[in-house]
Amino acid sequence: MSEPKYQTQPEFILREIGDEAVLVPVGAVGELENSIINFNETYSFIWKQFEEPHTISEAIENARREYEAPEGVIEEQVKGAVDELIKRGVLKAV
Amino acid sequence: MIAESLCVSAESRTEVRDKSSDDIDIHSLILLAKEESVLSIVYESLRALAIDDEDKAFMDFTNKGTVTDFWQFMFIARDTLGLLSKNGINAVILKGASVARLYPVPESRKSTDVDILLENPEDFEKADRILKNAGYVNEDHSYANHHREYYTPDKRVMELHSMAVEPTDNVKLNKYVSERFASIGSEIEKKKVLSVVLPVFTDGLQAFHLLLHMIMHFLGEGFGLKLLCDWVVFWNRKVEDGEVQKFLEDVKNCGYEKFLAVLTGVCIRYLGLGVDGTGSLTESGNYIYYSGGVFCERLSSETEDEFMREIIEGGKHKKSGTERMVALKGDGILDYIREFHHQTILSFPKAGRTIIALPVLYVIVLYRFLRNNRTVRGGQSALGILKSAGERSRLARKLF
Repeated sequence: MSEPKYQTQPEFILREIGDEAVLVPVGAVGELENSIINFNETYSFIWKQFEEPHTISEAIENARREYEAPEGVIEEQVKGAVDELIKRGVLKAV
Repeated sequence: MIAESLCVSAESRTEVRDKSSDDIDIHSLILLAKEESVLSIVYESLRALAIDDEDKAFMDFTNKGTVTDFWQFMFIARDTLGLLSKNGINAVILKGASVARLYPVPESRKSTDVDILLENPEDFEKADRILKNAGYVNEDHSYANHHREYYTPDKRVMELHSMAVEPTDNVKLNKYVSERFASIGSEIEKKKVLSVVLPVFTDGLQAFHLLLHMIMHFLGEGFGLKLLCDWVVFWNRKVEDGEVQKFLEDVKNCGYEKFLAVLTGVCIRYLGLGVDGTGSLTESGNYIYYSGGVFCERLSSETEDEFMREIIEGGKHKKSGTERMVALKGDGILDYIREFHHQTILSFPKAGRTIIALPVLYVIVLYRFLRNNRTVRGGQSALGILKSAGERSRLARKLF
């Protein structure tokens, strides 16, 4: 069975202003409605990876090309961030 | 720096930056930008300069607040307009997001509240009931100057308006403005502001409202650089000729040609209006043109400088949250009395109708003006305050 692909949802937009990155829910998104979520570099990177449909493995591979970190750290961070974004409805399987 | 920040394209920004002087006291500039509510507008340009860590932290903190406020007010605007619409009440957003959408970074325009205008003023009490049922609170139950202030359930300020601008002491002008905004249904359009759809004025009416709003503040407590920035971003884009013509007709009918000229002239001279050549206005000789013809004839550079000084002074008053002596139509005692009467009616809309109360109300209004002006002007005497008001009045007489 092939690995699922995920994509960001149009109910959210990422705004990068200076060094700040915030995720803004602009549609009906339940518990996150009318909130503004501060994104760190990892989350911003993940968001951009999934603007087009990608698998988690592809995102990890791209992160490895972009950042240097001890074995397993990148994988752990990407998976953790993706899980969180899926749980919040920011990323959905396509 | 503001000119640079308001350019849409990166090439134009670089070109404008290259023309700027390197000899800048950055710390003072940051404080001035904060005072004028434009710090977030010049944020990126300031960050490109060598600033120390303390200033950077201050700017980041301020900018973060502006961005957060912008989105919170956007949500309030969307939810309030949605709530009213669901109950059959049409309304439009005034200033705020409707202008912010024209900035290179919409979140950079500082907001302190949300202003909503009802399409039909007769819906006011119905809208009031709907909002209160939804948890909006109006503490003082006032309805001064045709608007009412509410705290939203998350304690933000939202103002509901039944008139686009507050009335002046010119009855004929009030009548024109009131009629002009009486049936605006066809001049409201839905626009996407960073993915959020909001009802806004079409360009001609938007320009007219921005101008009226500035005039109202100019003749009242003054206004700062932020409103000039609005004027720059509005015209630094293509506006259809038909909309420009509609706007110019309104300006002519109100006799505001000279104010339009000094405002636009100052924006060209100091704030980069028309600088990247992609907007609606161009300058040639003493005239400013749009693609359909003459937009306005410029006033003298002395008058433009005088106007700019007034804007900076107005910004100080806005920052301190105080009122100042308004510009008057003349220097005579009758002009002062007439203005006090007008201000009294605006400040005390109900009590002001009772003739017997008027002398007491005049004294209160006079005391407030002198006290507030004294605070802002560092202990200036009452005579000095009246003299300054006289200078403003002379500029006002040149413009109206």
